[in-house]
Amino acid sequence: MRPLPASTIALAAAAVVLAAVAARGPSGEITRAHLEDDVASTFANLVAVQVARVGRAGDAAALHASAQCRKVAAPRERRGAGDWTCDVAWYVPARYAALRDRYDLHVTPDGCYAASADGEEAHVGGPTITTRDGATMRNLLYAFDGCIAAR
Amino acid sequence: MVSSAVMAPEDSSPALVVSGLRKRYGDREALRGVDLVVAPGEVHGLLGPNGAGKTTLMRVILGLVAPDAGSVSVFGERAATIPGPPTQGVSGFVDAPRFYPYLSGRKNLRLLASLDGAGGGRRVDERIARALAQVGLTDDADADAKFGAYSAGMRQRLALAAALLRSPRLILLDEPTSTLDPAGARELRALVLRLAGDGVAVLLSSHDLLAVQDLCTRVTILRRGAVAFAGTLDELRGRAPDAVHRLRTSDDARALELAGGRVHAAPAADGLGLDVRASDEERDAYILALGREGVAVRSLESRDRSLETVFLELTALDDAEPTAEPAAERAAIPGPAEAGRAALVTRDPWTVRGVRSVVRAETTKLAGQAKVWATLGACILGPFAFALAMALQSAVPEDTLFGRTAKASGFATPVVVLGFAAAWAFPVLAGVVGGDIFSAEDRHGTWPTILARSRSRAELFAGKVVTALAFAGAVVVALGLSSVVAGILVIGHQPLLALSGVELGPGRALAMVGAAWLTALPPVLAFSAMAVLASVATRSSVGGVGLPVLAGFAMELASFLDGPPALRRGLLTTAFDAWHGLFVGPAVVGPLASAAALSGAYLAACLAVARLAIARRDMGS
Repeated sequence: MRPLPASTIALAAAAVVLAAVAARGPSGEITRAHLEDDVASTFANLVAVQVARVGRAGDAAALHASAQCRKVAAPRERRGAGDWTCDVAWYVPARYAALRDRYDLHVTPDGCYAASADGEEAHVGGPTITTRDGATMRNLLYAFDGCIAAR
Repeated sequence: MVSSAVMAPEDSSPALVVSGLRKRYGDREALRGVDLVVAPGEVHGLLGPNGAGKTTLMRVILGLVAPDAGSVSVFGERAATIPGPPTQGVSGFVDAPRFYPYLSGRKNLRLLASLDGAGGGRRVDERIARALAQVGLTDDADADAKFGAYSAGMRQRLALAAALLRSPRLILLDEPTSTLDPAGARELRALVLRLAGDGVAVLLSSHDLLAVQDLCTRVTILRRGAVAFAGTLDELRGRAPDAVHRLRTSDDARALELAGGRVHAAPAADGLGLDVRASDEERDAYILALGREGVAVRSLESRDRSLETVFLELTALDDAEPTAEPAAERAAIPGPAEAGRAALVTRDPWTVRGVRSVVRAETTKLAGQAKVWATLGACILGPFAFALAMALQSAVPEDTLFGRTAKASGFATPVVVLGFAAAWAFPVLAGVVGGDIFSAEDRHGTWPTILARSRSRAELFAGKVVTALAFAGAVVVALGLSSVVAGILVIGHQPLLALSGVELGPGRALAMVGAAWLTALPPVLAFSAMAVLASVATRSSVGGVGLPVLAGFAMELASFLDGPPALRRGLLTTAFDAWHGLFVGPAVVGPLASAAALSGAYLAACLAVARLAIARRDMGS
């Protein structure tokens, strides 16, 4: 048998060690619970940003936003990429009322998603909104992107 | 005529001792126990027909090919590793010498000098000018012309200049006059004699004895990988068969009868007399006998007594084994190659200085290639074109992360570019240099040229890999910086809406975008290592660049299949997604560490295999 260069052995050993380290990393699994947490918190943050942009004060925590999601093709399935539907509920302090909107989500295997409000009649409004001074701006809540944090 | 200056001093130790060298390529034995000794100041002819093993022997001496058995000693020093760089003071070329076609002859020499450890500066330039003058490339226009435009004769001269740059004490020249015109061949012979006069040992291979007989002190004739003759030209002449004379008489038929047992005579093939083969004494007796029998001798011409006859007889292809087949017991003595193979691990020596000189040489080569500048230019200008397109059109790319905010914040531009580049551009960019840096040597046939300098294979490998990875890194940095600048200049530096729905101020957005681009570095370097492996394995630039791109494409497809997370985590392309964790709230670094480790594993595995392939390969065989 011909001898191996020492550098080959060192590199191969490094490859094995690093592969083992990578294998112990976060699973990156897409679950219903992760998705519901992320959609709700992202929605709440976006409400705060949008309210601030139109000149009002907003507090994401005060919305008590929550989400309930299910997979479109297999409602009983609790994990995986694909098309999901999420019902987002939040509390509007000024109205003493809870509102609910439905979002269609396309979740890719990397854990990121694109969410868009289901229909023009949604409480969150259409693609654009008009500010008090008449300017038109993009409605951040009509469609937004997010990623489930892989831990 | 052999100059007295080229006669080997009898008391000097040999410049080269080759002992029991054996080499097999598959079923063919290229060398079968070859012995060879060359003294300082000697011009030694290595002769034999094509396929006799001359070039293989020279490749082994230059460290391009690993022998199966036997040893090579140069100036009393046993070659430590074979294959490995030739001993200091040894130079030469085998086959048709090759250089980099896109560099001038002078730049090629400068590059080789740097591989020999010479820095830049005037002293090196003076040495190069001297070497060029020695081989007759004195015209600056010739020296500064691209090598690709050189004639065969100029290439041969440049190869000789490259060999002279190493200030050789032993020089190996493989068919050096084969492509030279008569004047060039004469100049080369004069140069060889001058070198020998200065004490340089010259091993000169040729398939044509007549072309070198006036140069060589001693010759070794190879036939089918074995030594058929070794000795001086006089000793070779002593082996010449009885002379053949063309005899014409008044009665050829009677003369043929009278030849009887005296001489060997036969009618000439052209019908003009008899061809008589005999020693001088036998021929004298025969002529006298003809006179006595009344047959007049009209003419007697010497037809053939050249060295060529002996040479042709010694190298004639027949089934008989060569007479100088080495003793069987020699094969039992392990040479350095066998001794090395007894160990499980071999050490190919390398130094940081050596690797640095290879990096310098590779950088010189890259600077001469248009594709390198075109790639860097595209990386710098591309993002500006993208940002302008974003600013001018009404729609935004909603199907990519941060696409919705592409017109709202200039900081979205670099992350959108990052997303696009990860999908298809990074594997291509990583392969531009990595996929070509090894196979280019195969394409140009320059492996023997660089391996005959002072750098070990480990140093050449490391230097090339460092260059390829550095270029891939530079491309990522250039593209990232350009994207940031383009976004800010064209769109503006508005706050960036993160994936968590919170707004990042300009300072924080810039830091996050910079960090995101840094996360692309490990997988890009891993793709570059993959390109290096493909380049080494396929010996083709198309394979070197194309295979990593195909692999990246296949991994992208596989990642969209949404298979088991464990399988997905093993795909290198998923490392390009690790930056997403920076833009969720709070930022998650676990995926970043995981992606870096995965990239490192790919990088190390690819380089381990590539290194092994380079270490074991017989170059130029």
